[in-house]
Amino acid sequence: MSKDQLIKSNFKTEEYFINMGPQHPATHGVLRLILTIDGEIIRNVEPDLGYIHRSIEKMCERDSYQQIVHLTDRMDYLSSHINNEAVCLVVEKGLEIEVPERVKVIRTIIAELTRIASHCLWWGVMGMDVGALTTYFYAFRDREMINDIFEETCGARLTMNYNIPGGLMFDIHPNFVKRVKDFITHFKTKIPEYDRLLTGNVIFQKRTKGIGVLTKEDAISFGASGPVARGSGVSCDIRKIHSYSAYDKVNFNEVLFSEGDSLSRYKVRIQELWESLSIVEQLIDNIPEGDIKIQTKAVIKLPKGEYYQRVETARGELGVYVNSTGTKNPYRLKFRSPGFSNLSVLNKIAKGSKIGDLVAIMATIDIVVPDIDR
Amino acid sequence: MTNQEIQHIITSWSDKLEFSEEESEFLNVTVPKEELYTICKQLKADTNLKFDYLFCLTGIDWGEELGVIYHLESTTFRHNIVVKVKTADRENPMVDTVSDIWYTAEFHEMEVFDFFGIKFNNHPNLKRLFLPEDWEGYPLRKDYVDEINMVIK
Amino acid sequence: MSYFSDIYNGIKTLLTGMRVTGGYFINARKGTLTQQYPDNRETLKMFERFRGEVVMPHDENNEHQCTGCQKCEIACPNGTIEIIWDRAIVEETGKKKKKIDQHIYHLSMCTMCGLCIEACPTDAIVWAQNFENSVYDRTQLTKVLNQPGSKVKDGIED
Repeated sequence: MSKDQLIKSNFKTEEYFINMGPQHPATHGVLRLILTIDGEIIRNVEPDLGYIHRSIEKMCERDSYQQIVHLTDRMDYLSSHINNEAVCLVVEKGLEIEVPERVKVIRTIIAELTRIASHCLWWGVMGMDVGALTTYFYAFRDREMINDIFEETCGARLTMNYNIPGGLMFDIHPNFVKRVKDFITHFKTKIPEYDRLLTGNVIFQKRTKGIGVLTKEDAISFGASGPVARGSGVSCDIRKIHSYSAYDKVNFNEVLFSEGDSLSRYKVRIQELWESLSIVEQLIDNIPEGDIKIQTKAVIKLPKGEYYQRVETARGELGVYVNSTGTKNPYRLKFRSPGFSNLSVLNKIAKGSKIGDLVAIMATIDIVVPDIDR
Repeated sequence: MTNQEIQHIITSWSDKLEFSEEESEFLNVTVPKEELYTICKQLKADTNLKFDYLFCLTGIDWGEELGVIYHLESTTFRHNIVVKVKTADRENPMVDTVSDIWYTAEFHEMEVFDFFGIKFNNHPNLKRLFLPEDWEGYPLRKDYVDEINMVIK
Repeated sequence: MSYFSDIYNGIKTLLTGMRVTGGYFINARKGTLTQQYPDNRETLKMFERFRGEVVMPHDENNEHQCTGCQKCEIACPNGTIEIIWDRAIVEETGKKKKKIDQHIYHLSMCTMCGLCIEACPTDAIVWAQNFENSVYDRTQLTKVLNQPGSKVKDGIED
């Protein structure tokens, strides 16, 4: 009789429930997980959502299209600019207007800076979740520089609301180009530092390697997107597949790793920092001159029909579905948020692992709860 | 694959399908709710179509009818289709689940049940996802009234 | 053997990480971003576009540029702005003209989206950079933007 069987036959074990959250420091917000555990082993994870549900979709049904944009800041607040862009793109699609090249390039630069800022925050928090407090301070130092750039140009650090349907609210600040270039030179020396500090660390490797394996088939079936799916080898980068804004003018690689474990999701994001940096570098010297907006009517009425726009946020694919009946408000507006689909993966990949691993898995899924609750 | 070719393949499966490309960028197919499950299963299984990625599942209230809209994509061929299903029964709307074809539908169907009250047959764990269990009514329906919390402009 | 090489590699990676932190420990003053708020209040300057709160600038004659067109009120998503307006007779022409009585701004409901300032045709309202808005009672966050006795500047039409 093996040791395990011996223990099983002599000690009666029993499954029981524990709550993780909603105020747990490792759940990244007010997310409550109902865990069924057997000793330390997780048998089932059931997320209980809705603690910060604000019913943005219902609010959109009574708002005008200009007003909807600022609500999307509050969904995935770490990629607020990209959310704004998605709504603006869908309205522009409905009105059949083509925004000037300058707008496209500026939108792309700020979107990529947003992605870097989001991944920076994720990296800091990822380190904290597996027990390395130092990473948090290093990541926030670099994120602070991006936030300053945003504050100077857009007026806000997080909920920027810089996009309006038809273009941008105002032109970039005169210091913008210089500050971004300073940031690029600064950040290029910092990503290798990130690697030295955490990626190679033996404790970190043991916490993440082979943990929470998501197969390619499951990733597609669960609708995972963004780094979670790309860590499993699923090619799903909307910037490549359904290119929007200025992404068709730049060269970048879609980062793919095939292992599907926590470490490969981590590596995807670190590699994406380089890719985003290279996109910004290609565009920052070539911002074309031109208008910063196309004047739309004060009351935007989308023609009757259905519109769908997909963009790639820092977390994955954000879809905006608008059903218009020709009035000034959308009849139905749905946000397909990346976090919601990515969270559904959790029960699949966390089964059979330990509670400590669950925290590491959740960190690599990169959950932003307002994005899930909307 | 072009929309015409996709339509050509699907037409032969059933004679109750309605196709439309107006007012939308995708090919829309309206499916009677009795045939939804078999059609969806075929959409994923067909080797020329392989719609294996359900990227959006939307509940919608058409005023008289309730409906569900499935946005599908094939990760191999990168073509899209939109499947629509409607039910006129507002008291006890029932639609078959597709959560065993695309696992992502499990969460999205819970969301639709929560906000529209559409029940999905054979769903493994159909319960209120966001709202508390004792919440009355379905907030995203057009006839939902809440005089205290809803601000009408 | 792999047992010992594991220990060796483990210590090596730890030391690599500690070299980074150690480097910063020695050069602690270089590249620090920490701001000693609130001790630096005198020197702290926000960016000129920073969205702190909405204000209505008045000139030395106590005149503002708001015509009471209510475009900001319509543009606001949350009902933050309320305009109480009246009609007054202009002396020269003898015609009735719209004027504001009170431009009420509920800072507690504002989400700093900037749509009102975008919508204003006469640039009557602008962003202020003040961000210290904590008060003991939230009714204090309801502000009347136009000063008492102020009137609209001559020649401002929407």
